[in-house]
Parts: sequence; structure tokens; C-alpha cells
Amino acid sequence: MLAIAFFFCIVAGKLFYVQIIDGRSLQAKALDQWTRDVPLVATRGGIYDRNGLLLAGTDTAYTLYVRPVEVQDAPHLARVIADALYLEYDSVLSKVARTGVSEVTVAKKLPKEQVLALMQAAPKGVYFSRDISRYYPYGNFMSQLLGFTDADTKGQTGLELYYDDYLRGLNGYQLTEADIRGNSLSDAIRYVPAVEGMDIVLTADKSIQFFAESAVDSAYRKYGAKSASCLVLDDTGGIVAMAEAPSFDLNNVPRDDLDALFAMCKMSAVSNVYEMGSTFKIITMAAAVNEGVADLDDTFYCAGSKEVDGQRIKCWKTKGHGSQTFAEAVQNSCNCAFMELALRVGTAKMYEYFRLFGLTQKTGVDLSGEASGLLLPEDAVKPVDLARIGFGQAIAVTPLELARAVTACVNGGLLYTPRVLERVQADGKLVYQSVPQAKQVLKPSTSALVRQLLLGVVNNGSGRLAGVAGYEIGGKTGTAQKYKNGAIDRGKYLSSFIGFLSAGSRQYVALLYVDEPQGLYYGSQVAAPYVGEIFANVAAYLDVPQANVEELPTFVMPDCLGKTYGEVQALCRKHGIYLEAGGEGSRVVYQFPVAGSECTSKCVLFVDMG
Amino acid sequence: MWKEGSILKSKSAAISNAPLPQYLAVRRRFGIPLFVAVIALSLFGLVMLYSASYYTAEYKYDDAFYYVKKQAVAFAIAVAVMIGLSRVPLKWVRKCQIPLLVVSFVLMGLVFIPALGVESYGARRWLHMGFFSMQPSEIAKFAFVLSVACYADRYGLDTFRKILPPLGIGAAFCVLLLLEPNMSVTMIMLGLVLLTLYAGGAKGKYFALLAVPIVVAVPVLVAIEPYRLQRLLAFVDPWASPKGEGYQLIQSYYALGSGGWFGVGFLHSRQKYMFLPFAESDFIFSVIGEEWGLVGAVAVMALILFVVYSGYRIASASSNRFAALLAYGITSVIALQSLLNVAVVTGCVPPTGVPLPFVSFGGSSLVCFASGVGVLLSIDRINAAAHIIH
Repeated sequence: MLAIAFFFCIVAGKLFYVQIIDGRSLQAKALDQWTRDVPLVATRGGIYDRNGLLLAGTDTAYTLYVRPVEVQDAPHLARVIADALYLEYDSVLSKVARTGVSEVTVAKKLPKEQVLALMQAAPKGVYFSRDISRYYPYGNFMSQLLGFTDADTKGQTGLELYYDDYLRGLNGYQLTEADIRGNSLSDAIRYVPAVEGMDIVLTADKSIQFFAESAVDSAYRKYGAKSASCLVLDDTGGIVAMAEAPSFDLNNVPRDDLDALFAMCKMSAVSNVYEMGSTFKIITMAAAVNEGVADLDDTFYCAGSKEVDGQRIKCWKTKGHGSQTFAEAVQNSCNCAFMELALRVGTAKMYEYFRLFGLTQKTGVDLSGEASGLLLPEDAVKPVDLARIGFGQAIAVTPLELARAVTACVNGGLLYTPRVLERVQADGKLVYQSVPQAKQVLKPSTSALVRQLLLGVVNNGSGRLAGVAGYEIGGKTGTAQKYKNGAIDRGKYLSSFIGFLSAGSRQYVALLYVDEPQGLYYGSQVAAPYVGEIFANVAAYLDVPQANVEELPTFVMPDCLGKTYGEVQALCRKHGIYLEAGGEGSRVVYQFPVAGSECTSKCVLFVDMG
Repeated sequence: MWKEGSILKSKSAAISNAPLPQYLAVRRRFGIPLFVAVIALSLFGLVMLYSASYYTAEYKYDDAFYYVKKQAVAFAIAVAVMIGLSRVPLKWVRKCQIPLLVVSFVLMGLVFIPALGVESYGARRWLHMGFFSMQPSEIAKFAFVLSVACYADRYGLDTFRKILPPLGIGAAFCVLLLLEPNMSVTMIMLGLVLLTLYAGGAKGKYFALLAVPIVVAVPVLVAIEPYRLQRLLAFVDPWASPKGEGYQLIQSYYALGSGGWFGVGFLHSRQKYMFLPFAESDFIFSVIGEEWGLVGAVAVMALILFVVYSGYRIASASSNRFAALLAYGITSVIALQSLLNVAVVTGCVPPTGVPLPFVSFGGSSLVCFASGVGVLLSIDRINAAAHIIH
């Protein structure tokens, strides 16, 4: 008896340990198995353009499925489902009556009302699941900037990734007591509603994006280029459009070839650095003007090359531009003149401007994967290097860095931090409003003069094809030879144009660049016309008042083949058109526009001397 | 007939042989409190059975009272048998010794006949008898203690040779139980062999010899059924295999841990929603601990202990050696099985399936235990009569 009592006491002791000392932690573990939590999925926020147009939305659809083993009267159930969902009776019956499977999907992508109506009849064995999917109303549109999500609608690229925390929201859950098989024992004992994702409104404009998309798309196709891209900023650094070609449909992301997808997702304007060539001359120009080492009265002489530290550096026009005013040198995009400007400013000052313009570091734009400019170390820069930097060689920057700096050059001298997020709102209420951040980097007078010079490029110089009659458009062309392993990669160019459009008190800066165009490659011809097209559309879209346009006289382009450079130059002077010549020979072997085309004085004639 | 070395003898002899003053010699009768305690335990078991089983019963049989109804019928039979046996002269019980042994062996043999024996959870312990099922081992335990009581009373157990026959019967039962296999009842049977032989006067040194085959048997048994080793390991650390061998014990811990001091309240167990296996039978004590807390669980243990105490008091009060040994044996069956059950439920010993006497679901078990108590009541009645004669 005593032994039995003793053992009972041991058991009682263990009971005390389990029930009292360990009780709390055991109960916590038990609670986990007693309850089943059903996630309440938060709806992902939308992405809207600056005018409130939806660019990325969330779709909720329902999938209806049947567990055939639970179905009692298959023909009746098939009839009910077919009637409620407007499906064919026979095909529903074949699914409902299927054997040997636990679940059969009857219909997908059903609207909520249909499912609710069907479930009201509460047929046994019928279940539905809620599916959330991301959709992009415009498909292949702004694909790099917007980005996409994975199957669980978690952001993977672009803004979907960068602002995932805002967009995603917070899933809630519904806690229900359940038995071991998961059957509910009661109504929800705890209901934590989902916090819906917030909406983000961009600085981007759907219409302007559309203009940019169609421009890069046609440039990409027409020139068989490796890629064509366009970036449009407003005068406070807001990204209005960012387009890339080739691109892909966000609603049908091609995930088969991940390397190709990764390449197409890249925002080249943010992640790539390029030696931009002549478009970079705007920076040199602005620095020289701001430092007071160049003004409109200056003249520059171009003999076709310039000797710096005993090294001969050629102008793109090997025959030379002769004597030219500052404005003419800009219009001619004369390399010799810009070498001179850079040397006048000096290495230390030039680098100070690079820093001021933010070319030495990331811009701080709210996008991931940003690169920053590649510059020679300042103390390693010799006059030869500085001369090259003056016309856009030996310095590589991201297109965004360049466009941002050029915006400062034409907006009165304010350098803004680029941004793509305008505001965040939850349930229509403002949560966050982005405020443009700027610092003065140029004197307003410098900016005014640079504007004037750039207007001259479009009105009278190499940028003519970007011009739209009746609008104030300025800009600069760029044709950069690409380098590979330190040597010129023959036949490979980066053709670009950066321009601005005055739209009332606002301005838009557009940078369009075509990587490795086939055939024609001058920026003035490959890129400028597309910027002109974009600006024409933007001006019409924004209702920018058009100045009176005089009807330009037209003439028929004569045949220039076999002519000398002097003869062609005389022809151009006669018709007031801009001439752009390449090649080293003495006779014209190629011309564009071809003989017989109808041209105006806004035309640019390209010839190849062979 | 009395042999030296019997613990029962010295106590009983001291009480029955010495002329004591009348007021000291008055023996308290334990029959009535024992009867009340057993009825209380069984009724409480019936109520807890409902709480523990209604959800499973509803799910499996579409009848929340499925288990309760069966148990209520068994309870009625059990009370009738208990009262009936308490009125039966002890010599009739003694005459049942041989038939009961034969029936036990036959039934335990029948378990192995596929048409009659039911295999469940990898063991053949149940016998299908048309309208009801039973575990023959329930009867075997009582058959054994009865036979030992008869034998010890007639021949004594003072030499090693004399303890061999009852030892052989016990060993035969153990072998049959191991073949089922049924480790838990084997353990109880071993315990009964030790307790009854010792009480019957066998010398302590004999048990040292008995220990040898047991020590040898353990590794052999583990080798035959490797699941036993897994169970042993699961008992040491149930969390190592929460979905496997450790599952039962963890679920029992969850139930007990949720109970705390005073429990979650009657009918409010969460573990009975099929999380706890055998909540209506082997693990009903877990549900008691969950719904009534430590206080309730200890109260139930106290009640069982009181039943055991009463049984042993009846044994020691008996001046008849056969009656004393029989009462002692029956009480030991109750004590050992109760102890094993609560020890399993609380994780003091490796998990093994054994019902809690009077409380767990199981008609044959309830009726058998009630029969045992009926014999105890009968012995108590004899004790009282003997006292009056004195």
C-alpha cells in the first residue's frame, strides 16, 4: 500500500510539473494546433500616372472547383453550376462526375457575383478559391519602370519592387477553432482584417510615355538597333516617361529565357553608363559660360583638328569648320571649339562642375539599380584627356545623370533630384507627397544663354529635325563611337539627342538614344527626328500655344552624288539647309534625303564622302 | 496453514489471534465506503466519457452518446454483478479457480484465431463475441490472482519448488500476452506475480532468481518488436517525433498543460476534438486533467488510492488466508493498472495502452473490475461476521 501510494505521489508530482510549471508553454503550443488561420490577402495597391490613370492594378477572380467524392447528385449539380455560370452542361457534368481525382477545377476567373450566387445554393462538394493577380491595362508599356510581380503578387522588378512595402499592404487572418481535420468548430474567434496596399501616383504621364514608347519602338525597328531608349524629365526632375525597346508585355512576362528577360527589365537610363559624345557638350558649354571664359562674342577656329600637348585630336569634320562664332560652333558641334572651352575652364573647375551637376555620384532617384558616372580620377587627367572630355569622350555618365544636368542648364540653373514617385495615398487619402529637392548650380544668366545656344542648334544647326514649327525647342545631337577594350569598335555608335520643349512656364527635357543603329548613325538623323515627334505630340497634348508658322518654301533635292564638298556646301547655303558630312574622300558617294525628295529649309542633308 | 514469512499473516494474526480489548478490536468495515467510492468513480467516468467522446462519437457514429450508452449498459451490469458477488459465499469463488483459469487460457488462445481475434494497431488483444468485444486479458489478471490465492492457501510458498507452479501459470500468461503483443498487461501480470507471491510468503531471494529472465527478456523483446525501442526513445524526448512516436504523449501533455490548476471546465476540453488519441479510453485521464485541472486529476487519483487502501485494509483484516491473499491480489490488479495508466498519461513511463479502471470506456474491463470489487465486498462481509463471532 505504501509503495503504491509512493508511486501515486511521484505521478502527482509529474502531474504538477506538466500542468502547472510547463502548463503555459504547453498551452501555447496546443493553441497552435487548435486553431486554423485563414489568411485574408491584402489587395495590392495600384500604380497611377500623374493624372490618376491606372497603370498597374489588382484583379480578384475566383476559381470554382468540385470534390467529386462529396457530390451526391452529379447531374443535378452539373445543371445548377451550368445555369449559374453559363457553361455547357455536358462539359460540367464530365468534370463533376469524374472519378479517381480529389478535386476538379470547373471554371476559372469568375467574377465575385457569379460565385456568390452559386454558393447561395450551397451545393455540397463545391468549393471556390480567391485568386489575386496583377494586371497592367496597357500591357507592353512602361515595362521597365513599372516592373512586375511574382505569382504571389510580390514585387520583383521596377517600381513594383522598389515600392513593394507601400503597395503590398499587410495580410490579415481569420482565426477559427478547428478539430484535427481542420473542420471549424465555431465562428471566427479572431478576425484581423487585411490592411490594403497603398496606391502610388507617379510623376510619369501615361500619354507622354505613350509618345516615348512609340518613338523608341519605331527607332528600334527602323535602325535595327541593339536598343533604343527615351527618358523625359520635367523641369523639377520628375520622370515623365521612360521607354525602352525592345520590351515585353507585363501581362505575359516571358520567363522562359531569364537572361533575356533580365536584360529587357533593365532601365538603361538609370543602370547603364555611356560615353554620350556631343550631347555632353552642353555641360562643357554651361561650365565655360558660368565661369565667364566664353560668351557670344567669342570666335573659334577649327582646322579639322587640334593639337593638345603635342597630340593631334581630330574634329568629327576632318575638313574643319573654319572660323565660327560661339553659337555657330555649338550648332556645328565643333569638337575643336569644345576642346578649347574645356581647356579654358581647366581640370579643377571642370571637375567641380561635374560634382555640382551630380555626375560623380548617384542621382538618388527612387529606383533600384542605379549606376553613377565613370570619370577619370581628377589627378590623372592630362590636358589631352580634358580636351576629349570637353566634347564628351573619356567620360561616361548615365542618361539620367545627363538629362538631369541638362535640365539644370535650361531651367534657370536648378539641379533637382530626379524622382518618379509623386505621392502615396491610402484609400484616397494622401499619405506622402514628394517635394522636389533642388540646388542652384548655375547662374540664371548662364542657363538663359545655354538655352539660347541650344535653341540655335535646333533652329539652324544639327538639331533641325527635332524642331517642330511654332514651338520653342532646343537641344543637342550626339554621335558617339563606341569603344571596345580601349579601341574604337568600328561601325558601332550611340546616336542620341537631348532636347527641351518650353510648354508655357514648364519645360520638358527629352533624351533619346539609339544603341548601335544599323546604316545611318548620326544623332541628328537617327535620334533628333524622334524627339521632334515626341515634342510635337507633347505640345499638342498639353495644348501649348503654337506661334504663327510661316509656310516654308520647298525645293526638290538635287542629285549630289559625285559632287565635291564645296559644291554641296554651296547648294546647302543656297537653300538654307544644314549639311552634315562624313567620310574622308573628295566626292559624294551617298546622300540623304535622296535626289528628287521634296525638302524645306528645315531639312538636314547628310552626305558621305568617298 | 499459516506460514512464517507472510506479511499478511503477521498483521492478520496480530489482529485476529491476540485478545484485544473490545473497543480496540472493533474493525471498521470498508465495504460501504469502497462500494461508494467505486460507484462514484464509475459515474464520474461515465460523465467524463461523455465529455471526452461526444465529438468523436458524433463524427464516427452520428450519435454523440454512442460510447456513453454502451458504457451505461456495462455499468448497470457491473453494479448487478458487484452486488451479486458480494452475496456469494467465498467457497463458490474458490471453486471457480480452475474454470476461470481454463476460460482465460482458451479465450487468450482464441485471440489468435483470425475469425475471432481482432487485429487493431498491430496487436491481437480483442476477441469478437458476436454482440460485444472483450479483452481476455481482463479476465486472466483476476484468474491468476485467484489461482495464486488458492495455491498459496493450500500448499504455501515457503520453498522455491513450491513457488514454481504459480510462477508457471504467470509465465504462461505472460508468454500469451507477449504474443498478442500486449506489453502493458504483461507488465501488470509481472507485477502481480511479484506482489502475490511475496504476499503469499515467498522469500525475497527467490525474486533475485526471477529477475534474471526479466533482465534477459528486455533486449530480446526490443529486438523482436523494434517499435518498443522507438516508444522508449519517444518517451525520453517526445518532441523529437511530434508526428510519430511522440504524438500521443505530446497530445496528452497539451491536454494536461492546458488544464492548469483548476482546468478549463467540464465539456470544454479542446484536445478531445480528435487531437488526443483514445481520449475515451486509455487517455481519458488527460481529458480529466484538462477539464478539471491538477486539483481534479489529483482528486481522482486520491479516490483510486482510497479504493486501493480499502482493498488492502479488507485484505489485512481478513483472518482467512485465502480470502486475505485474494483480496490482496484483486486490489493489486486495481492498483497496478491504475498506476500504469496515470504514469503513461503523465509521461512517467513509456506509452502503452491500458485503460484506467472504472473510468475508461470499456465494458468488459468495467464488469471484470466490478466483479473483483464484488469479491472484496464479500470478503469484507465475512470479516465483519468473523468479528462478531469473536
